Amino acid sequence: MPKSVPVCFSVDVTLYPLEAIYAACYMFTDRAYIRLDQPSEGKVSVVLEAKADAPGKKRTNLRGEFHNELLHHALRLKISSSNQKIREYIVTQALLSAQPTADIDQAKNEAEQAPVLDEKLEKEIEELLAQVDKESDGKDPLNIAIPWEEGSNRKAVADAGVAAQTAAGVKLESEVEKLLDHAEREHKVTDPAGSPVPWTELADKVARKRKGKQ
Amino acid sequence: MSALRFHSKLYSLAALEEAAKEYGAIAGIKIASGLPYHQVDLRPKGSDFGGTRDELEKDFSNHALALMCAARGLR
Repeated sequence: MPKSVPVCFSVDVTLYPLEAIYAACYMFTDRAYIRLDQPSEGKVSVVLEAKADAPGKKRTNLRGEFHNELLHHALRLKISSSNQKIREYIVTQALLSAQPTADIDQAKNEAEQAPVLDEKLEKEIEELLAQVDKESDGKDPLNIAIPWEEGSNRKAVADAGVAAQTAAGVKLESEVEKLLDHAEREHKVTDPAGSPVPWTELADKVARKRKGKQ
Repeated sequence: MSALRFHSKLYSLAALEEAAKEYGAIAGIKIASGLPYHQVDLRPKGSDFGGTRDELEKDFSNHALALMCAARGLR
């Protein structure tokens, strides 16, 4: 591999900031040896020498590529500095919003600032609750207020259930009797001989028939 | 062979010392700080380093430059 000839040129620091020169140099460290010097104030001399093991394409036109890279980094730094404030602001906002305590404080503030949803509705609810208290007069006939763990409550609930079931059964029987009386009065049924058949007998027959089907 | 010269406004002493520490295994390095140039004397130790002294110096120079970039957050 032929030894490459070093390329030497100077860069004006007033045009390209030192940071951009360093950044451009860093991009070339894999394919070239780089030395910087400062022959005079405001000038930086750059010596580029392609590495022997660098690929052929990367050994040519080092100076032109370096200048392009220099321009790229100078522009990047300029944009970065002009956007610095907004970037800092965004990061600060993001960090603040990520803090849980901040969330709580904000929620509290919002809750304090928010108006009462509906004063009328709240008043109405209070009145209803007062009315319920007044009507029940502190009584608890079904022992709802007593916790289930207490055995007496279990028994009371069971007793109440049985009583309710019995009452329902009695009511149903009386209803059926009424219906049968009504049917006998209004719709008389006779057998083939012409003698009247009581509705209770008919109901029993129907019940037996249904039971047989089941 | 003369010592390497690094301009003190372009190469910090800390970067040169850090690079010297990392190259200490393959070369004996002496750094003399000064204005406007720091001077670095490199002597390869035996044949641990595969290349020539010239290549060692250029590698050292590149490494010092890379450390400068790292210190400035440019890489």
